[in-house]
Amino acid sequence: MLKFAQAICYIFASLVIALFTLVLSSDTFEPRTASAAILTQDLSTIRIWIVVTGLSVYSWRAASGQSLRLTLGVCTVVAWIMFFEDYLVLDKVLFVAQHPLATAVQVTRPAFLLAVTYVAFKQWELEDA
Amino acid sequence: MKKTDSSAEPRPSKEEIDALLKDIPLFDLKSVRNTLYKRSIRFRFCWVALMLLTLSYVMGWFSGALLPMMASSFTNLEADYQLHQLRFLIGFLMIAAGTIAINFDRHIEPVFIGIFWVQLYFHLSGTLRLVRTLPEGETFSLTTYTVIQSTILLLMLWLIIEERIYQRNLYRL
Repeated sequence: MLKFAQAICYIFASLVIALFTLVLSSDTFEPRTASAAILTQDLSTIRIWIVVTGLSVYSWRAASGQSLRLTLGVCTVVAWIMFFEDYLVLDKVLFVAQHPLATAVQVTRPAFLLAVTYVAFKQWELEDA
Repeated sequence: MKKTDSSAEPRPSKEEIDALLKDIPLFDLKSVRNTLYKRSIRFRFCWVALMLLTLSYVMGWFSGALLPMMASSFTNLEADYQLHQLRFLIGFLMIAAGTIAINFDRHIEPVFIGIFWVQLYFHLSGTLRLVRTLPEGETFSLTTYTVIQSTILLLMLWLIIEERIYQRNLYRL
């Protein structure tokens, strides 16, 4: 189960990196106003860095056998906050669900949130034991 | 089969219940105070400074003093305003989480490390947003925002370091 949840997290991270790279590099995504376009670009830039940093730190700590529970805890909290920001606020600004990659990200996001929360709790439990 | 009569069961009196609950340190302000007194003076300073910053932020928000400095004032984008409201709410939830950790004197370091990273995300995205939306030559808002956010981050970092020192000393004893 843990391996499966970790696989979901890796798949989602790959999808997000691909989508945000597309948002930053192509003109396929057209937000409604110029301000909204800047907001989309800014958030995409920050989030792509967060995902890349989170993945790198996680992989490095996992490979070197260090404690992972705090890293996973922080990643989980930030993932939920970004989800709330998108769902409650940014939905009207940056949603671009017509693109297959964006649809894939939206569809897999709830599964990812559940998976990353499960992995974080499980890791905490394993390291406490 | 023997019939049970619940009215005949012995029940604890109110005084007994009060005496049992007395030692459970739930959301009792005395517990926060006790935890703070166990820590160093620097830890206490950081916590009080963070609370004062929060208080002044709330006062600035409700007096309207902060409004002209927010990104939504320059972009007129509803999303910017709503984003600020949401982060404002998350900020209070984080303060609540920190207070609960201090109240129970458990997991203070991991809780504040989590809060630190969330705050760093707010700081970076907020600063980037201001840099991209501010009119030419308008640096006051950016400077004020950056100084306040950096102060919060530094105080939190200091608090984490103090907690780590305290836990290390406790472990040595």
